[in-house]
Amino acid sequence: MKNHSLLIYCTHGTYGRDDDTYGALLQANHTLAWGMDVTLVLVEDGVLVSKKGQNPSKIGLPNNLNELTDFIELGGKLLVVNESLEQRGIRKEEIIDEAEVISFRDVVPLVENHDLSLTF
Amino acid sequence: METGDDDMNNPETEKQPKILTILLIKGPYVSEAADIAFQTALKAKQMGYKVHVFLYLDGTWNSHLTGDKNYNNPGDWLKRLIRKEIQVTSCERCSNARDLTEENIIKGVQISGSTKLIDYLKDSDKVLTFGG
Repeated sequence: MKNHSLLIYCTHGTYGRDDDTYGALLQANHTLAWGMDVTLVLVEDGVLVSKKGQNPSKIGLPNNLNELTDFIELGGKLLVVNESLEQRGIRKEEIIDEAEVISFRDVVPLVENHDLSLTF
Repeated sequence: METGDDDMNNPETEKQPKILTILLIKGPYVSEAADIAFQTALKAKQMGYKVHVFLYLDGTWNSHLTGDKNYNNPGDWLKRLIRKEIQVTSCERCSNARDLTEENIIKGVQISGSTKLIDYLKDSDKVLTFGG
C-alpha cells in the first residue's frame, strides 16, 4: 500500500446537491473502514453539512448527519473552514461539537500532510 | 550519473509503471469534465502510466452513451479508453441508482463496488478528480 491518508474536500452543501455530499461521505466512511486515515474538510457550501439539528425528513431525504456521525465514530477527522462559516452567517455553536474549526490558511499544509486528496 | 527530478518523475525510467487513478463525478455534456478526464487518461496511458478510471455519482452516466453520434461526445472517448485497455470501473451503487446495468452500458466498463476505488487509491501514484 503506497498511500495511507486521504483528504476529502467537500465544497457542496446538503440536499440541493445531496448526491455530491452524500457520495463524499459514503466514500469517506468506506475508506476509513478499509484502513486508511481520512480527513474531511468542509468548505464553501460544504460547511452546511455540519449544522446541528438538520432534518430533511419532510422532503424525503436521508439525513447526512447520520453519515457524519458514522464518520466520527469510525475515527475520521472533521474540519470546517471558518471563513466559509462566517460568509454564511453560521456561528460555531451551530455546528456539531466534534467538528474542528480551521482557517483557510490551514488547508495547504493539510494537503501536504496527506498522501491523496479528492474534491467533491 | 546523477538522477535529476525530471528522471524521477518519468514513469518510463522505472521498472514498474506509475499508477494514475482518475475519479470522474460529473455526467456527460453538463461540463467538459468527462471529455477532459478521458483525454487525460489516454495521454497518461501514452506516457506509460497504468491508468484506472472510476466513474462515481453522475459520472456513471457516461457509460450509458453506447450509440454512435456524429458529434464529439464522452461515449466515444470512453470507447477509446476500452480499446486502449484502460480499466474503467463504474460504481455499483451509483449505477444501480440510475438503472445502469452491464446490458445498457458501454461494453468493457465494469460495474463494481466503491471498495474497488479504495484499492486504487491505496496503490496510486497520482489521483485526479474531475467534476468536483
